[in-house]
Amino acid sequence: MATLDHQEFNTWFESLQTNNILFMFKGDFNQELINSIVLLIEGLPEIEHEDIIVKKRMSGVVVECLQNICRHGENILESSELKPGMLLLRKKNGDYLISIGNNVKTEKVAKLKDYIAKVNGLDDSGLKEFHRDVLINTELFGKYGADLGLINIARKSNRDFDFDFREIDDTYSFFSFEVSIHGTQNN
Amino acid sequence: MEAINLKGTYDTPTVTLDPENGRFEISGRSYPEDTAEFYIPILEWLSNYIQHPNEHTNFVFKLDYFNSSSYKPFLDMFLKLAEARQKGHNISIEWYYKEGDWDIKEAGEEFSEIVEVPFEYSSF
Repeated sequence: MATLDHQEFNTWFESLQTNNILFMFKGDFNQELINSIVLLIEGLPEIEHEDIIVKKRMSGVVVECLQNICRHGENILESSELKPGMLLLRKKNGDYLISIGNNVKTEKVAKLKDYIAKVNGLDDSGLKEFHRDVLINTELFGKYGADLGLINIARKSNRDFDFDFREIDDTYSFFSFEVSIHGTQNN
Repeated sequence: MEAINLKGTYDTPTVTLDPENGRFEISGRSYPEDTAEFYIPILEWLSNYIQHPNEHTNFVFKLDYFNSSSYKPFLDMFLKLAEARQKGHNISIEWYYKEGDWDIKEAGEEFSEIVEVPFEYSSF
């Protein structure tokens, strides 16, 4: 028995085309999957033709974002260790937009918001200084990863993260986050 | 001292720490799943090595990419090397970056500023 709504499927495909979706993944992230995703993204024709700095920034930002999901993402099913999330990569006006979505504990939202706002408010030299401070003052193999990670993402991107938190229930919120990276090829 | 020879993987670098053959190099990508597990043995090795280093040590970093969690172990290596230099040991640091990859070059410059040791820069 056929269950696919072909019309809906076609509309969906067309919408992916018009929105210039280059890559999309929804599922449970882990390190092996991150490696495969980076390999796939680096092999996309649009990315392959980019300058080395753009390629490196793309894979760098994708790695930081996805490792963040693996380390800090939450699963609403408390019995599960899996780290569900979503990655969307598209191109708009010559820039690459990397969007990430995952669940976080609602109790952590305020702190995360403050931190993102702080990073968003810094210019290039401010970010460099902040990066240096966090790097020097955190413990070796301590829980500094996410802090440095966000600064790193900011330094590789056009900054001004676009982000949002939607409450799912008392315990969890959905965190969505978008970063843009300047492309050098205008195709 | 026994050498460390680790073959790189997709997310961990190739590590050669071989005093007998005078080779000290970390190259490739570094974003291991567990940074501590990967770098603790390397940092311990380096702590021992700088007690009685070779007459000259040229440490080569030739990285494609490293993630935020690799920054701190790298800084720790540079601090150890800087400390040995202060004690009068002849140690140099060569920092390679892929031609056009200014982010990696800048990362080297920032490490160099923090530990107050000049690096030699080359592109590959």
